[in-house]
Amino acid sequence: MSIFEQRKLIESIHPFGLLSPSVLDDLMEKMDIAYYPKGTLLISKTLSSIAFYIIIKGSVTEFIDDEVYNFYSSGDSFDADALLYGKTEGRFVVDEDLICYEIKKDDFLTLLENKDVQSYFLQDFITRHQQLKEYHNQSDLTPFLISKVSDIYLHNACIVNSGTSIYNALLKQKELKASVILVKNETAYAIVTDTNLKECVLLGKISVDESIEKIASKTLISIDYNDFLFNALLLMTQKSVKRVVVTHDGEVVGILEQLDLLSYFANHSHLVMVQIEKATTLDDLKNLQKELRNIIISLDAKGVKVRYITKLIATLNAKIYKKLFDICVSEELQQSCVLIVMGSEGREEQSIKTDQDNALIIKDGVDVEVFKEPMMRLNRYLLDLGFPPCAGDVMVSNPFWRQSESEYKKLIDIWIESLYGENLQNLSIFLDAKALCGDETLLENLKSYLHVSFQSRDDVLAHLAKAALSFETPLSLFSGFVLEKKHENKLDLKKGGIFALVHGVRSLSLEYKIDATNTIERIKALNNKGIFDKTFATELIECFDTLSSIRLQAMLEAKSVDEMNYINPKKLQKIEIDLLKDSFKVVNKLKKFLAFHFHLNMVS
Amino acid sequence: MRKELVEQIKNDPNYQELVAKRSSFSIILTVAMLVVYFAFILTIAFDPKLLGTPLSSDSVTTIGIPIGMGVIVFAFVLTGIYTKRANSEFDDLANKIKNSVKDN
Amino acid sequence: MQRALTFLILSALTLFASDAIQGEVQKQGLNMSAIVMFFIFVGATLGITYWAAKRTKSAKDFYTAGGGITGFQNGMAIAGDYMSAASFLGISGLVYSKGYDGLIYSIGFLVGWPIILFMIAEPLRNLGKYTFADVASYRLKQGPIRTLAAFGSITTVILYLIAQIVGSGKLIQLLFGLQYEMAVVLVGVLMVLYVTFGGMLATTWVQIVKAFLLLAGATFMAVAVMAHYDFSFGSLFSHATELKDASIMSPGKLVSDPISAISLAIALMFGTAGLPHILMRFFTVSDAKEARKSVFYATGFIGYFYILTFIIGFGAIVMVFQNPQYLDMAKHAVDGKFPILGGNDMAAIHLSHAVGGDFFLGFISAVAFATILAVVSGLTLAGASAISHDLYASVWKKGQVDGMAEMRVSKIATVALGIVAIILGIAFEKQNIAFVVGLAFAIAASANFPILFLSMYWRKLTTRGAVIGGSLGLLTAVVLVILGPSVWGEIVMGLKDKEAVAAAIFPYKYPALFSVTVAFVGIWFFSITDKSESAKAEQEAFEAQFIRSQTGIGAEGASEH
Repeated sequence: MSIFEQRKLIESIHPFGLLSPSVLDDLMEKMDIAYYPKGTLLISKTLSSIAFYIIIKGSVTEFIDDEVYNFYSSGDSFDADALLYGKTEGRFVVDEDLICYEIKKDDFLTLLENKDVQSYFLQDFITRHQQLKEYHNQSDLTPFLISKVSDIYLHNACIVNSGTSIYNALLKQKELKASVILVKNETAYAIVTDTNLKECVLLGKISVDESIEKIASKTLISIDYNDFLFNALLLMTQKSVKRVVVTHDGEVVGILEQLDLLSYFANHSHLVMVQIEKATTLDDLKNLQKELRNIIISLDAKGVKVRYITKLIATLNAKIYKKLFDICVSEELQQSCVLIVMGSEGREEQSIKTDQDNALIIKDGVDVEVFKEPMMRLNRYLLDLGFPPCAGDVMVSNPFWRQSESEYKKLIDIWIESLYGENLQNLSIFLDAKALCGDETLLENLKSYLHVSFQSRDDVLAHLAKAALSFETPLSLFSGFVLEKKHENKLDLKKGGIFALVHGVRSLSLEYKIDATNTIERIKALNNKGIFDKTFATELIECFDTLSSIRLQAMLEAKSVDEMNYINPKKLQKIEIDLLKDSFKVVNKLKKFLAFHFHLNMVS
Repeated sequence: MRKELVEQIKNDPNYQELVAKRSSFSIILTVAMLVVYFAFILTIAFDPKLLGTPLSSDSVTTIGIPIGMGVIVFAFVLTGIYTKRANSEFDDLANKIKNSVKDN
Repeated sequence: MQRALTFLILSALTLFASDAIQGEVQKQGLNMSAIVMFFIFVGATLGITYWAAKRTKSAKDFYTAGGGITGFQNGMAIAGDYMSAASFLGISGLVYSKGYDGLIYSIGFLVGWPIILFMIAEPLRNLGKYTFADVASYRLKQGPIRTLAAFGSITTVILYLIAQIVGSGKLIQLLFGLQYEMAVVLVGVLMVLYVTFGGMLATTWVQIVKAFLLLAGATFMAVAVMAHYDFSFGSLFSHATELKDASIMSPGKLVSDPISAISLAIALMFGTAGLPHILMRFFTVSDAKEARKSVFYATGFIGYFYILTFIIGFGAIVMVFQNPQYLDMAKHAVDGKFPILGGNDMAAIHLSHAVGGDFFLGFISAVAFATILAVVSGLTLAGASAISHDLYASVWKKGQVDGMAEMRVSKIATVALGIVAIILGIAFEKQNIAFVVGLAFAIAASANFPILFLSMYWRKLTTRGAVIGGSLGLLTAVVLVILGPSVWGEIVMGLKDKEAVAAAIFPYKYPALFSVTVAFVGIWFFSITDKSESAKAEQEAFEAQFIRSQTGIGAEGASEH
């Protein structure tokens, strides 16, 4: 490669194109070309980064916690963060023999004095991501959730000792401009919020000279400095709090405010959550579906992986269920039953609502009929709120799904006797059950009964797993898509891949007594049990992500529920087509594995 | 190992009835099959000419032919008898046992 | 491994030896119209199978789409697994050459089924276990039991495979005028490809379709033969005896001595239950009632089919025997006998031409060939799974291996089995294939059946007893087969008939009477003398296993294995 060509290459890589010719010349001088064989570990937690790499030829994979996190190939560069912050969570491993430019750490830092370059590397991730999108340098799989708690602005924590008076504590708080006061005693922290002050000092008439400890609340919700921001959002949503304390090695390092977090994410999930929290009547909850949809759209647009979106939606939905449950079921009855969601809701994999699958398990000895009216009401409310009805009538309004614990046990026995048609479907739905409100032990009992009953029933398990092979993967022998003529030459993603993956993983999870209901968590658990090797587990997760995210686009574009699973491959980008084909290949691999593992050639 | 359950089922009269009935029925049918088949085979082994006897003086067809066919039909009929009884009586008993286990 | 090596060396020897008598392999001119028909029908058979499997999946719903297979359909599938090359080509060939003796084989193959239904099927289903190894290791020690079970299964599978390979090899040789060795290699390669790429095929539907086509084809042949004689058995038989002699109407030389007769009977009767690819079929249907019904229907179909092969065999006597069109005239000129092209196993194929011309010859060849492929695929899968699951994953890696690695081993095992089957298929060229299947049954009855049966019914069985007794049974059977007239006398010494018997170290063709006895006595003796702690625990675990095998209620709690 001539010097001129090299220069052209560097210029073509953002943000080096922004450099003036003289700076670029200077940079070219300082750059080395290096070669690393396949398998070389370039950067890791313990191996700090010494240079900025720009790939000429070959590829590099970034792993975080053994999960493939990002993939760099010709023209890509990495890793500014590792250089700027001096550390990284990722492990960068050479995948194919690598030839690359190296900009030494010091040179790179000098380079950052250039404003444009600096702004590029120091920008928060969202803008960077968008910028990248404009440059077509990034695939949709780039994880948005790279941001950590450590990346965001944290408020100072005002920490006082337990003996401090309220007055002095308030002075310190004012000085530090902190929103809350943390009270440190020998072993732990307690928190004093404005609400505590209002209620105790102004209304409760506690003197400001009293020790601050008196008004502090013990429940402190905290998150680790190195945790993902998204988890902080989830935590706030789950616990209904406005801020979390950030800790690092057990020490408080600051306060993360919801407002900052949300402006970072820039979506309305907090509004939705507040709306649900505050609701006292059904009317307060109306129009929520539209809000939820907007959240999905905005998170998706920002490149958030579908699995995190669905998790957030599941959390919000759980709050709605809980609210309705409180409205419909009297407090004393609440402890005699458990409300469960099943199917995609139970797996926390529903984004756009397509369906509802819920049921009620009633404690033995309690009259089942007592729950009839409340459940009919709950069902009506859900429908009113825009939860689509379940075509198979898997809803609490159906007495079949509103039974006592021992009746469910009988049901499980029947499933084992004959897994055919409806039985198979009901079992599959039930396997994804997740308790939302009420006495959760009721569901736990049934799950362990299920596991004992299916223990070493290779035969029944095979009949269960068989359904995963029901539909052909829409991939021809020569890696072309097989389109459905009946559906305007579109691809059915659910039939073609998602169902097989979800159901196959579900069947294996039953065999190996895995409690998780989420497909990705199940895959990880199967990997831990040694059923899948690491590579295959990673492939499956990537495959599931790809299929889900392409499907989500289809769902957002679809005009009716019937269209939701269909995509038109002609509308996909080249990279998406490749990813989709790869995913179908992984689905086929899983099907072969299932066929082998369960001896399915004998039961189908 | 759930010892109590084993004991409970063992003492269940339905279980004892099921095991007794099915075992004796299976054994009777098995023995019937063995007797017929080995009678056939031993005849061939010790007195092959017997099966070579013509059906009638002017016929070349030997009695071995209908007897051989008869063994095939006999086997088929036996499986039919077993299936019929097992699919009604034995399954009912097994279900009774299963239900009694659950009620405890 | 030792055993496999011995076989390899033996077969290599015979490869050289057979060159000397190569004259027997007769090539003939190509029958193009039959070949075209053959390809059309193989294609059509695959097409129908694909359609039938697809049809059950047209339902909208995700879970009902797989479709349930009824007892009737599964009975057909079982019959499809069972009516292999051995049954169709082998038994009709036996009837053709030996008359009544062929019927003795058919009856033996059939009577195993009622025994399976009465004694084995029910407990097996209740235990929820697929393979012989899974059942046997239910309360016994995984390692030693699985090792033994795997060797038993692999030996059975290989012998059964040989029969199929020989049958299809001769068929391809006859149809395409290839060298026998070429034909066998071709079939072996096809078999490996079919298993590797068709691993996900719904084999149940493959078997159903093929069983139906085979039954339909055989019915047509039998009816066509009978129509010639105004549906009078009397005239058919008398014409046949005129052409051959009256001895074909009564038991003959095949099982002349009592020991051979009883030995064969034991092998055929108990061998079926020990076949590794058959047991799995009880699980194809989704409940116990349908499982029983499927055995009932299967017995019916198989019985009917054997009656047809009997008629077909006699049909071949009257229409093929002494018909110059189907004879190896070169040899006829030498010795005045009437050898048919491709050997006696091809009698049914020639008859199909005699009654239905090139068109029907193509059809029957295609159906027979497709049936063999399907049977072979089930067998190879069972054998490969014994290697990958029992030997590699459970014993060698002690369960510490992921599923993908196990699957890779299974693929390698498939190829290895294919190679072994090809080599032995060439070595066994001159053997009647019904006879080779008989050997497979003898091994299954000696090594697999005693452990399977006793593990389900005998409280006192221990790991030691099962392993020592089972090994003795397997070893006795294999050694006696090798020292017997068929391998020692015919394959090694190159002799025939009486000379082979005389030359053999063990004078009986079938080892089952001895090997099954050795197995049972061995298991009994080494179990009751086993006073170890683990033996006690295994005997105590019997109760829970028995309850489950009788009722399906799992009483072993959460700490199994």
